[in-house]
Amino acid sequence: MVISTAKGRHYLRDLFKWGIDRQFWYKWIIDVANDFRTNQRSTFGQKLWAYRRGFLSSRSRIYGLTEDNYKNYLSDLDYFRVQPINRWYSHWINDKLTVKYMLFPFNQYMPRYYYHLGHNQTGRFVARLMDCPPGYGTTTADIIRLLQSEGSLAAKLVAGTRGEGFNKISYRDSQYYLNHLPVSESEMLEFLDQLDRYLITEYLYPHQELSRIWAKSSNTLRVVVINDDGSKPQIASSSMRFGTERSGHVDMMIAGGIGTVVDLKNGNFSRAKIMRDGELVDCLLHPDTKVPVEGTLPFWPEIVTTVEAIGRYLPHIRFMAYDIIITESGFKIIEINSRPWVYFENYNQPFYTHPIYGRFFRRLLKR
Amino acid sequence: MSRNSLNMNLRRWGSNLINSYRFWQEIYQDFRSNQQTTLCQKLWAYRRGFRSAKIIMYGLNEQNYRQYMSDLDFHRLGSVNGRHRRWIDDKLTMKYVLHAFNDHLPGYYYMLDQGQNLKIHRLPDCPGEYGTDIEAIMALLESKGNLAVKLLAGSQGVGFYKLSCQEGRFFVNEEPVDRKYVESLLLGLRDYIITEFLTGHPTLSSICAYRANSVRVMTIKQPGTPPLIVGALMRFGCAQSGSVDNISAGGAVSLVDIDTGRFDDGRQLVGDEWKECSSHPDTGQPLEGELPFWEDIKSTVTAICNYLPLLTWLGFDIIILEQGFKIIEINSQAGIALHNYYHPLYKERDCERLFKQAIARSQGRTRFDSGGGRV
Repeated sequence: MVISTAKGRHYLRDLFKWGIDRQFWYKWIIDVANDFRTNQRSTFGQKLWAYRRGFLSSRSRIYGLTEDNYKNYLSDLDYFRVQPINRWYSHWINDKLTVKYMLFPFNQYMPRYYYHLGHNQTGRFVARLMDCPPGYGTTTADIIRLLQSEGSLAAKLVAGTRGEGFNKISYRDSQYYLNHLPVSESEMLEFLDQLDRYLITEYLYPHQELSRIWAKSSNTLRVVVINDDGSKPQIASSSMRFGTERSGHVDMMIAGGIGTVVDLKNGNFSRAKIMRDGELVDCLLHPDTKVPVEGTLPFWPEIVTTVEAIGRYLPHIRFMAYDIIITESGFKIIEINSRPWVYFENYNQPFYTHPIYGRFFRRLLKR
Repeated sequence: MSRNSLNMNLRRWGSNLINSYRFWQEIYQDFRSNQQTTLCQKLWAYRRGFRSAKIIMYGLNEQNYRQYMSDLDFHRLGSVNGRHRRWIDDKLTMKYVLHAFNDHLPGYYYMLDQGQNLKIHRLPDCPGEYGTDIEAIMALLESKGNLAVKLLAGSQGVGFYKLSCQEGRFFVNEEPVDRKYVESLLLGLRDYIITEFLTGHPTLSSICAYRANSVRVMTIKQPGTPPLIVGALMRFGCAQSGSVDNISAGGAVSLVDIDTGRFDDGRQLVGDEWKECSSHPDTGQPLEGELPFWEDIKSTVTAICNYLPLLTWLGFDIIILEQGFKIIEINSQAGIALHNYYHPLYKERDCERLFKQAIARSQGRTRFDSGGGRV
């Protein structure tokens, strides 16, 4: 165990000295411990080599790090050291409900929010949210009625990340479905009754240009925006993710989804990758549908102007990663991350060779 | 009982650590400093959750004490809004969260952010032609005439400056200063916001002309039930209270009839006692009249409670203007002493049920799941 040795104690002291916020250094230690325990693909020597340079060994393998190129990449430790990038303002975007309130002037780009479900000592409570149509009360039966009217709804954790806690509930031809599996009405009621700190929102179907590649997940666009001085937000990178049979109803790469790189000039997406055996490998055809994973994002110019306008509206937030679902009629921001995973972006173009990321992270580390 | 075990018990009873500490501190101070009650009276009050000062303030006895919300219940209520109290705890977050009600919020122009070097952010209502430097703020001040500079998370009037510019002469809190003084003041501030300065309605200004007098409206809402306005007070500034009208700073207060908006029965806090104060201490004008826009205020406050259904207990601070009204602040743990004094909060069954349910809800929460979000 690292901490039990004298060297480990020095390491901890160094972490404090380097300025890692207290809530992050223990996460770094836990990440290293987990990486050490679970990564079977790297040797003991490779692991030590990576840790000494601030990388997790699994990440080092993804990037293909060597003594010559590792300085081009933002290390995992450096990413911890610059946290919290957005200071206390991060609570403005850290949960889906606060984001919805914060971005009221951009409400047309947000999904419709119907209910909040919670539990406490006095029992269950259901609260109507801003987009709940009139005529629906505050019971689970009302949610069922709304489901019957809407056809599909999303049930998601208020502050869930990486797709955790996401459920699709649907009603079609007098049959209820929970994540595409048929369930009875009582099972659906039971499911809704046990949800705690969940939101019921509209379910978003992807645009045909994207669903032709994979239709069983929403397929999310990730746009990372940097706004260092508060007045000139810039899109640093963008990636389009697709689900697979393996990833289920989510599209995270860690769950088995596919990631592609978006050309910021024209919204073309290509260079698809998928995670296999701890490495990112090419995936030119979707593994299940065999459709080429490339194309052009609908509404790209509008997406660019909207995320830049939001950056100017919230000048205090310097680093934002938008998760966007593009639908037939437009696009919706489903989440904004304050501390996103950036390894796919770092992999595509090492950050210290990137004009926007490089300058931003160098300045943060200098501070 | 040791201090630690009492604190543990308080936590088990539902107070969070900070509130139980505050409660314990208040009891300790009350025990040491209140000379107006006997030891037996003190113990009687503590066992019922009150500070002994409330025996005199409310006229508590064995028959009526259940009609009043105890100090202990008030501290439990403090955590009732849970994590989502962040939406209203500072003025900037509140401005963004309540953008749907922007007509009833003051104009927000600039934020003076943290950092070794001052970083100035433009806020949503800043006119397009103004930049992000001190010169731009001074130009805005010259154009608007008055600006309010407020601490982001200040309360009870702490960190409030009124900046004025009239015919090229500058004033800070009505004191004449030169331009450089204003610039250096702004350069030294961090975590402050610059907003429009609000001038009160003539009806209220006739009572106290040189202070922005505010209405405090308190509401409670449980999911599934309509919001309830449980009390309203009209607060007036006076010479003793400086640029603000807070009761704790020496301001005077009148009770507002929730149904009609009529205010009367003026009081002023002297020590722990509410002394009768039928006329304004400085102007001599009677502290009574009718609040303009009262029906609009009630409907807006109710609409906000419905818009933020996860917030249970709110204290709105509202300034009534000639053309309408603006909400300057919403308190998550607004004081109840005066409301309790005028109208015992547990006297009405509906009100008591809502408060007791809200307290029970907060008891059911842990430090990590208070209100919906995760860390």
